Amino acid sequence: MTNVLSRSARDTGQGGYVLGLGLRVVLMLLVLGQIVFLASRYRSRVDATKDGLYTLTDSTVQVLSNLDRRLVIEAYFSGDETLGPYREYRRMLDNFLEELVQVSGGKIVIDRLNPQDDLDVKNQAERLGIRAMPLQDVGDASLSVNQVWNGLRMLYGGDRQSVVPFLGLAPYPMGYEIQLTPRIKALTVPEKPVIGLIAYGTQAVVGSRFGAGGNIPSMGYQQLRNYVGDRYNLLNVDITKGQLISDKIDTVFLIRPKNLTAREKYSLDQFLMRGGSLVVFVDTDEVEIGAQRLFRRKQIFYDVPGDPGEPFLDQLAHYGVDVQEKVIADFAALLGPVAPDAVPTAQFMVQGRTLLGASLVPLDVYPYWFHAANVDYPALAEAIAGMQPGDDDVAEVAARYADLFEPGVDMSNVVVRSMGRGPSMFWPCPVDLADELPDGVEGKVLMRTSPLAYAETPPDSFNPFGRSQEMQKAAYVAFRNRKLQKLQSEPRQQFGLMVHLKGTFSSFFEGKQIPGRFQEENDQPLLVPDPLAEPIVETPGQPAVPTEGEGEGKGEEQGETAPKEQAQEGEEGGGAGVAPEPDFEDAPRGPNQMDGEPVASNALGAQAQDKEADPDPVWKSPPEAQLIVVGDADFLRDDLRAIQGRYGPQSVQHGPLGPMSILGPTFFTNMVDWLSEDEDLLALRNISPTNRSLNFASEGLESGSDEFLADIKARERQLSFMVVGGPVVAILVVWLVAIVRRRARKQAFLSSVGA
Amino acid sequence: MREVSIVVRRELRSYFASPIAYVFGALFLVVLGYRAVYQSTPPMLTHGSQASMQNFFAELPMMLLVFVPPLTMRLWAEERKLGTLELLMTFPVPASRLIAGKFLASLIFLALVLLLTLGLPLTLSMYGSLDWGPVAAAYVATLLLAGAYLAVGMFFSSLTRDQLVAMLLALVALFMLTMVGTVAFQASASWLPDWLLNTLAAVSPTPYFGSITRGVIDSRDLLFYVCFCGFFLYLNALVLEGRRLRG
Repeated sequence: MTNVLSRSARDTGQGGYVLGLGLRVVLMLLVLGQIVFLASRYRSRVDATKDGLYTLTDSTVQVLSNLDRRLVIEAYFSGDETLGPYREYRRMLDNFLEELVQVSGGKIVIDRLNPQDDLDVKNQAERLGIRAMPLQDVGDASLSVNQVWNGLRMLYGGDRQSVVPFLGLAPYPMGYEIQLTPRIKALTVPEKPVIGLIAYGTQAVVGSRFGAGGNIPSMGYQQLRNYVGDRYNLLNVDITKGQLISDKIDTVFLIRPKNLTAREKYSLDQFLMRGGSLVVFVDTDEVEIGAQRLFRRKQIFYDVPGDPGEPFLDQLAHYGVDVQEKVIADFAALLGPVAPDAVPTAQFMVQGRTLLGASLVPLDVYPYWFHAANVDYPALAEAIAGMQPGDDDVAEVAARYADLFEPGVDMSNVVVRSMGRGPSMFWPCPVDLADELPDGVEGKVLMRTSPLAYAETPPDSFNPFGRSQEMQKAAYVAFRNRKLQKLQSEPRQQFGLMVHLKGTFSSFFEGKQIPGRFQEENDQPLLVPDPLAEPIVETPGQPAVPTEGEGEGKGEEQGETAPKEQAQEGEEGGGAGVAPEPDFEDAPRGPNQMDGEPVASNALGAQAQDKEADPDPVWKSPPEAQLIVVGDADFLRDDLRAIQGRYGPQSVQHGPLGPMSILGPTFFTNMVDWLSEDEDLLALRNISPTNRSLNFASEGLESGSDEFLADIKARERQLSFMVVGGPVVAILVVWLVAIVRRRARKQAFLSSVGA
Repeated sequence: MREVSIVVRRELRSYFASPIAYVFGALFLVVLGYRAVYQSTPPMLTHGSQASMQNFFAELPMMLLVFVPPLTMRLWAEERKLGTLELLMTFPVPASRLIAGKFLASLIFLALVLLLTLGLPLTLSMYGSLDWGPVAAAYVATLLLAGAYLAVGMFFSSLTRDQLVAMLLALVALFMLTMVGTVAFQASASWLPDWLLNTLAAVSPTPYFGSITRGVIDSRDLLFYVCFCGFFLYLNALVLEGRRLRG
């Protein structure tokens, strides 16, 4: 072509040549432009990252393949100029949405709308509940706040929709996948799966207020619905009137069971026998920290006093679960140097002073708050043996410990594996497998304490602060030291925190009288007046007034611990201007009410109160029946749930009262997804990039010490200089060698010529 | 191919026989290393920071924009000034092979300079868990971007016999190509029609670089660079062919 046109140039002159040249350039531009355009439409990509950060997960691909109607995604996005430093995140989002379109094979259509440019679009967005969010943009010399629109509406088949008021900006497409895939899946499922909930929380004290316009959050479990409500139908199940749990419910969460009648235990038994998945969160005590930090504690009784039925703990033992009515104190914080992951994350705060002035200061080693950590405790046997006082041979002890200890978390289970640790637990009780499991049942302990733990009969008071507002920190240190002393006298052992059993369970009621559903069928009244319904009032300087049968037993069991703690409280208390706490009222017996009146458990089919005969009892469960028992229910409480940026309930006097439930909501959500066999969504939620932190610390130096910091600084300087200067030095050396060789060659040549 | 390899060897020998290669390499590496290691936030080699080469590769587009034009300014302009271009044109070697040879030689030289930066990812992998996938992808992206800039520089070098003019033209052109892809330009030039803004953004080589350095090797991005290089090398060929005809 070149030769043809060059002949043309000679023939037609310069003008024709230039024209031909121009035509060739334009043609080439068009061809290349078309290639690039087609490459944008039909492209393939390789995700070179190890974590697959930019690849849609199998779960999302599966969800998209299940789309049988068109999904329109209306993206209410403001322009990139409003995003400041997060422009790149918007690009990730755009790429992710494009990827959805491609993988869905055209079933997904994206409609981009800018509420900033069009008032009608803005009004429409606001009607849907989509709002602009302020976003700071810090420049070199300026600070501005932009209103950013980043919401979505997803319309499936024209009749189902899901609105995301503001899609959180994420540095990886995975962050958007986590937010959108569950919602897309929920749209494609005609009905939300049903999860049953039986929760025995404690209502907030009526009318009490503290903090800046806030009520004391409830110690109930009302907020669980918010965690999974968009994808599951969390149904409040009431078995207090004797109904059996509906066949349409496959999974039931039983949270903090107390005062169960024989009939209620039978309902739970038959639910398990039908092949259901029963998850039980047990507690031995209910502890309210309170606005004044008085730590009011009430023992939980699993069975209604006077009920002729057998104890609930015996029922659990029949299935293969051993629950001890004790509280665990775990000093995993002492393992900080060798197992930093075991150090508890939930902490108390007190008013203190730092270099910056008055501030809230975190406290550590409150032994009743800890989490199961992904630590290989057998590998730490020697270190733990070395911490034990005494003259025993360390090697011998270490060898014994290496056989005795187990890892803190069973990473083969997807719930805990995906979290990498257990949730923070508060005053948990030991939950282990029975020494002998029933035939046909397999079980595993999924979470354990560290070996620096002991279990004790719950003391009269969990209060580490005493009564004096001024001496809180000193009292806390004294409390901690007392507990540490007790640890030294206890043998090293671990306690289970969560067990999972599966298999063919046999009914607890086989060979026994089946509790009747209606009053006339029973010797005892169906509903027993609850002697614990009276409020327990605790005044400063005095411990909780024990009810009949409660205090005496506790005094006998506790021995030396209780008198010391009572004396402690007596000394520090004395009503130093502390106003009495409002009454601590127990909820009406029975599970929490969530929205309005409880739904009868068989409201999905039968009538609740009709005098129908029970179905024939089932004595043996099918193999898919599951029982999971967790040794704490506090971490799901409304007042301890994870609150972004806050530390649980607040007090004007103390600031944050207590801990934030770390990973509590995540644990619950993971559990629901796992039991609903939605492991794809479970895996999706817990994908996170690998931690790739640089570690320049030398071994043997104490973390945070001056030598440690100096060593790190020195290494940083050395490596920076080597990395920057090394290549330059290499080039200069090569240059020098080249110069020397050239001169040598020149000398040799001149010599040969001269010769 | 034999002609191409002869040209490549000749060009590489001329690089290393003169101080150009060493001075260029030393300056490029010391400025790049200093900016990436010391001036990033936080500094790259800091205890506790993530083992990532993102800061390093973020500096490369600007570094290449500044350093590639001086590298390419002599490729054709010097030949014209010294009169050796006419000699080259008399050889029975198509201009395309001459261009390919010079282009490849420059690219190989830049690749050798980049090879000397491997000390940084190796250090990061010794003290942290470096993900080598994105690092390898980013080096590929760097070579592609460098190739694109080389092609632009070579084109402008072929237009003039004055090296300084060639360098300045290349610098300005690359700067403008980089700017049209930025959000700041898109916001400031909002008076232009949307189709023009989108087209300008699409021809800027920088956004495609960012995409690959994250660790995603997309056929669209690879094809873009191939087409971009191809277009400017084609323009280069047209210029040389025109000289051959006139000469």
